[in-house]
Amino acid sequence: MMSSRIWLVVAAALALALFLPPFLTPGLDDWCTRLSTLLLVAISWNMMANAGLISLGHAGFWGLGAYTAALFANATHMPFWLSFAPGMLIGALFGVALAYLTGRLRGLFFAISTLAMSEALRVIALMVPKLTGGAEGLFVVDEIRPDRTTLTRFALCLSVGAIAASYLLTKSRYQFALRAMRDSESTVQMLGVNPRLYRAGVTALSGALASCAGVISAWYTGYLDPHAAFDLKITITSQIAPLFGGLYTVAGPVLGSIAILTISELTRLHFGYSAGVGLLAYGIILVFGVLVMPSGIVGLAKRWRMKMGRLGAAATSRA
Amino acid sequence: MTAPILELRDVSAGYEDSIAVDRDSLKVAEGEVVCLLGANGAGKTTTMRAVTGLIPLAGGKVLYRGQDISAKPAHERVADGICLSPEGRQIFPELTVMENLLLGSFNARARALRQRGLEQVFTLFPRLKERLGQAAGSMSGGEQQMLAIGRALMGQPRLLALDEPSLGLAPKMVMTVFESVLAIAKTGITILLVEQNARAALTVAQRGYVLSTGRVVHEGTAADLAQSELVQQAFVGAKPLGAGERERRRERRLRQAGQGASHA
Repeated sequence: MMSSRIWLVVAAALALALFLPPFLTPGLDDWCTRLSTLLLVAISWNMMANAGLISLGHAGFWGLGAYTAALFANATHMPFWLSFAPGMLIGALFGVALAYLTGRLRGLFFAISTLAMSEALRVIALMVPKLTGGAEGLFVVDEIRPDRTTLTRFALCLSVGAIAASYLLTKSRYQFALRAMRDSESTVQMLGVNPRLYRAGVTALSGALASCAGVISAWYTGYLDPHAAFDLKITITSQIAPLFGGLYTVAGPVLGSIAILTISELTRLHFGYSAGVGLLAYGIILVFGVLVMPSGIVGLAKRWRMKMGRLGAAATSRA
Repeated sequence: MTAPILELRDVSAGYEDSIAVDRDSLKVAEGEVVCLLGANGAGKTTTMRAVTGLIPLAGGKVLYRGQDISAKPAHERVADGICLSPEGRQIFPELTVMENLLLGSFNARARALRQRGLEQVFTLFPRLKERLGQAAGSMSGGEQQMLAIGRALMGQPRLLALDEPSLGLAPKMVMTVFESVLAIAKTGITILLVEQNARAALTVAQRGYVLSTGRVVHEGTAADLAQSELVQQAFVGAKPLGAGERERRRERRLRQAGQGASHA
């Protein structure tokens, strides 16, 4: 059965995520945690894009999740894993608020309002130093911080969960409605789908996932400040990963995240003597990657498989 | 005439501050095929949007099976059984034919009857069955129109609203599409049909309304309308009755707009 095989794959991936971390070198461990957070925001961004909602505000979800978890944990000394609950809940609520406030805005107009909201959150974080520590930042209480291995395990498991969630979503009937919303929200409404409800649903799920990444990063670094937590770079990488891997697909954000983090590490190591050159090489590779593979790694793999299929068919017909 | 399934009472509707439909009233009885005729800009599609809930009313009431549904959003009207095949087809070109059809049966009531709906659509349009796995945008215009009607039928309509099903189709295909409209009507589904192709529409409809610059200017049986001079006028664009005042108003507005522009 299709579905039972999927659960098997998920179980295997979870087992790997639990088993692997103790054996990782610090460098790889760091890479895995960063990969998990990138995976979460990339999947989250792709989910909204699939429904026609291009977000430029994913840093907003990230920062909101990070601050919520850190503040709750500092106030109550709750165990670190419990802090994901308020972090993701606030992210989801912010997603719903975003859907409500943007109403029927689409395309560029939607994108700009998400950017404005994420920037507004950053400014708010700066302006209420009593709560957030303002520009000086906020430390997470050290005693409740998990050790590295535990956090990496947790992060990897969460990203496996997010991949599974996005896969299940594409197999559900909601996928049709969301996919069709990308073409036209009014046509979808004409078919009996409430576009507002679906928009709120997808932004809530997407918001929760992106906030989850923020919570991981808060525990990982143990320190937050508005510039790092609401960094525009988060928004940008969250969309480069799906673009590079393959937009609107399940595998796309996953492959894209792995690819761009690997490339960024390799360029950093290779051009280690000068950070600028490394970043430049990284940027050039990304630009060419997107130019050469307009439908990402997934599209390239598909084309390649079709070509092999044709060659195979030709070979058998000749024999 | 039996109790109307649909009734518009003095319905006005439009876009921003221009009124496209001005205090129109019409009735459609259960099981009837009624057509709305008129030239470009007569307000046919706007009337359709008011019926299906895609635009808010500026005045008046829409009654469906005796209930006022004026405030109901479009997606809830679909669940009630008002399904639209929109002007310009509006199919999802990158989705397959099957996926387009399944989207039509998204609401819970229709989903329960999905299998029956598919069979019904395939008997009506055998050609769609051959193309189930194909991207909808790769089909011919006529096939896409069949898909748009089929998708609306998948919603299990009591009232099927067809907006310009002959738009952009070859004459032969127009015939095919109207034959299927007749076949749908025979199953007992009430049909509200909007058409520019008056001759084709009057062959399938029992009654019709003629719209001109946003107003119902004439109504009658299909046979009457086929003879009527007013129908000819409405299409050729001769000045319809009662439109003088509206035109004067519009001219005044245009002049004011022109003055506003010169100030700026």
